[in-house]
Amino acid sequence: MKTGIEFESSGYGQSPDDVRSLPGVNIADLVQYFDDVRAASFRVVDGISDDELATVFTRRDRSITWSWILGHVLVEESQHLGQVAFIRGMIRGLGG
Amino acid sequence: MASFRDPIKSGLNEYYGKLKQTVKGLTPEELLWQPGPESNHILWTVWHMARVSDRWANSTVLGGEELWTRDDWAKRLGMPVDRYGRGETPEQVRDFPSVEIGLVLQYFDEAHASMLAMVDALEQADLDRDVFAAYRNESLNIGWILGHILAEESQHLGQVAYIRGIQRGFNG
Repeated sequence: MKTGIEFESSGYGQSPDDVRSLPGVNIADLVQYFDDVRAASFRVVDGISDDELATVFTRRDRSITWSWILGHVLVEESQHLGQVAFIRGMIRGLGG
Repeated sequence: MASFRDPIKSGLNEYYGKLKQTVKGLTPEELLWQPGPESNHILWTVWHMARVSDRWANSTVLGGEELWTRDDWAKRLGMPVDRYGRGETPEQVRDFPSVEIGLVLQYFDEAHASMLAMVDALEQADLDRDVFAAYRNESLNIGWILGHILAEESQHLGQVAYIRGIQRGFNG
C-alpha cells in the first residue's frame, strides 16, 4: 500500500515495460520494507534446525528444501546487488 | 544427515551452474565488451571469479597452495602468477589478454571442485575458527567466509548476466 505496488507483484517474469512502469517509489520506503523483511527472515533462519534443512516444500511445481532456499536467497539477492553496483558504476564512474 | 554444508553447497552449485549457462555461446568480442571505459567485461569477471574461488578454498581456508600456481594455471593462461583481480585498474581490465573462455572455465571447474571439497571437510566447530587472509592482512571467521564467497561470486554472476543482457537483449 505504501509503495503503490500491487500486492501480488514480486518482479518475477516481468517485462521491460513492467520495469519501466514501476511507480516512482520512495527509496527510503523500500529500504524500510527491506529492513523489516530482513529482520523477519533472520527470525525464520534462527529457528531452523539442522534436521529441518532437509524439509521439502513445493513451489512452482518443483520440490525444494530449506537448504536450497537458504542458498538460493543468498545467490539471487547477491546477483541483484552486483547489478545495482554495476549500474551505479556506469552512472558515477569507478569511485563514484 | 543435513548440516550447514548443504545450503552452502547448494548455493555454490547454483551460482556456478548459472554462470556457465550465462556465458554459453558468447563470442570473444562479446566476452571482452565493456559498457563504459571503466566497466569490467565478462571475461575479466569470470576469470576473477575463478581466482576468488581458488584463493578462498585452497589458500585462505585450507592453508595450501592455489591451483593457479600448483597446477600451472597461470602459465597455461599466459598470465602473471600474482594476478588476482582485486583492486585492478580500468587499464588492466581493458588490456586483459584474450584468453580462451574454455580454458578459464576449465580452471574454474577445478577451483569449484576444490571449493566443494573444502566445504565437505568442514565440521560445525570450524565455523567458529578464524584463518588469516594474508592478501587482505586480516583474520577472518570461516562461517563469515562461507557466506561471503556466495555473496561475492553471485554479485559477479549478476554483473555477467547484466552485461550479456545489454549486448544481446532481454532473452538473448
